Amino acid sequence: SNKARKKQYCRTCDLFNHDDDNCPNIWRSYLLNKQPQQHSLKDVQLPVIYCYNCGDSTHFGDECKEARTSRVPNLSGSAFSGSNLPQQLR
Amino acid sequence: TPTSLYPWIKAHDHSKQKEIADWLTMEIKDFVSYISPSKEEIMARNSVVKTLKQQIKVCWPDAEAHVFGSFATDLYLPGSDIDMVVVSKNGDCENRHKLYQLSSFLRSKKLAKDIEVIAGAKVPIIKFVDPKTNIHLDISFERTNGLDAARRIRKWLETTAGLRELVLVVKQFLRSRKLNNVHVGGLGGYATIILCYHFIKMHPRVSTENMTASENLGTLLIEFFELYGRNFSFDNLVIAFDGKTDSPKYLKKYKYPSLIASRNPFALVVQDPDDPGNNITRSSYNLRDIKKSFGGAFQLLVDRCYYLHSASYKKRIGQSILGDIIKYKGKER
Ligand SMILES: [Zn+2]
Ligand SMILES: [Zn+2]
Repeated sequence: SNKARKKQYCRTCDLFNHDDDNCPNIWRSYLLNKQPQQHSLKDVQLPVIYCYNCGDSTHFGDECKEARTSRVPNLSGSAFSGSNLPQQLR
Repeated sequence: TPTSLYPWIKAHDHSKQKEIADWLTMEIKDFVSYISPSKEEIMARNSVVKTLKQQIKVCWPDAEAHVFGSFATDLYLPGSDIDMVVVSKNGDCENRHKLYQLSSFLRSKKLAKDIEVIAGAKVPIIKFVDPKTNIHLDISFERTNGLDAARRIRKWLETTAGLRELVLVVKQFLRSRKLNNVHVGGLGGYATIILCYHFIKMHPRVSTENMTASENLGTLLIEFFELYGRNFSFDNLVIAFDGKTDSPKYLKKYKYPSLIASRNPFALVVQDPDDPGNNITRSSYNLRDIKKSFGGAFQLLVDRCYYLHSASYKKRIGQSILGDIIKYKGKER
């Protein structure tokens, strides 16, 4: 119903599968290193990319297009997502 | 001293932390220092090992005794066994006659009680208890794979901040759920360490040096349970390392049929970094409960974070986040 839907809205994520008080951003917060001035993408340490669902090394599991084998749904995203890379690598 | 269910939080209150993840990071560090052995315990263990090494040399002059397992990597929990291996020039120590020779030697020197000689097993061992400290010991023979593993783990620990803490928390979690015993399908120590190390090295923010694992243990612990309890495809993938660069990777199971001895597609396969044809977790057949427990730990931890995040400061005082996933009854110290 419309009412239940309203209850399940998170303003931080703009998602309808959890509310503000159950937002992963409450615990998924990182203490980042002080980044040295990077002049080019060459100075950046490249990520290790492997998909937790299909094993491919072109994308992370959250962005996999293959059928998901785990029966537990992933509604709000996980750590293994392209959006969890440092800004300059996304 | 009184015992408590969460003895590590005594006098370490982090309820005023702004970020709930920082609170959990600090609590993990408190827990690790709580379960780390005291100076006296370390000295007692070292002296047991030293005496045994010397005396085994007396019994068999051409053999050498070494420690491996959690003792050799400093990843042991209170009450853990000590694992030793005896390696000889002739390679004949596994012989039944010699096993009984060593066991009666240890008994006569009053170095062992409750001795069990398991001579007929695939890996013959002598199990016994040190009479002075009551520490349990296992001695195996002529197998050096445990020594290779210990060397590799020590190298990982030296180069990976935060690995030791994550491993100890996950080990204690598995122990509290009775899922750490490979003889009943649980996850062994080496496999637990590999899962933790593999996860840390693959993390998008650690591999890019965007953050340091030891400063983010709280979020990383939850994300470890998130990966292996909710998302990882145990059906499709093998956990592996590149033989040359030692970097973590996944292999597709269907391409490595020789590694997959089990017909069950839902089986954990971890390739042995020192022996690519060997699956370290072939005895961990209870993957269903292991995965379920990881998923449960994820849910308990995040629910606890959500609750404490919106609770009043008064309600947060003296609370534990880890307490829901680790039951550890012990003395306050
Ligand atoms: Zn949200
Ligand atoms: Zn994929």
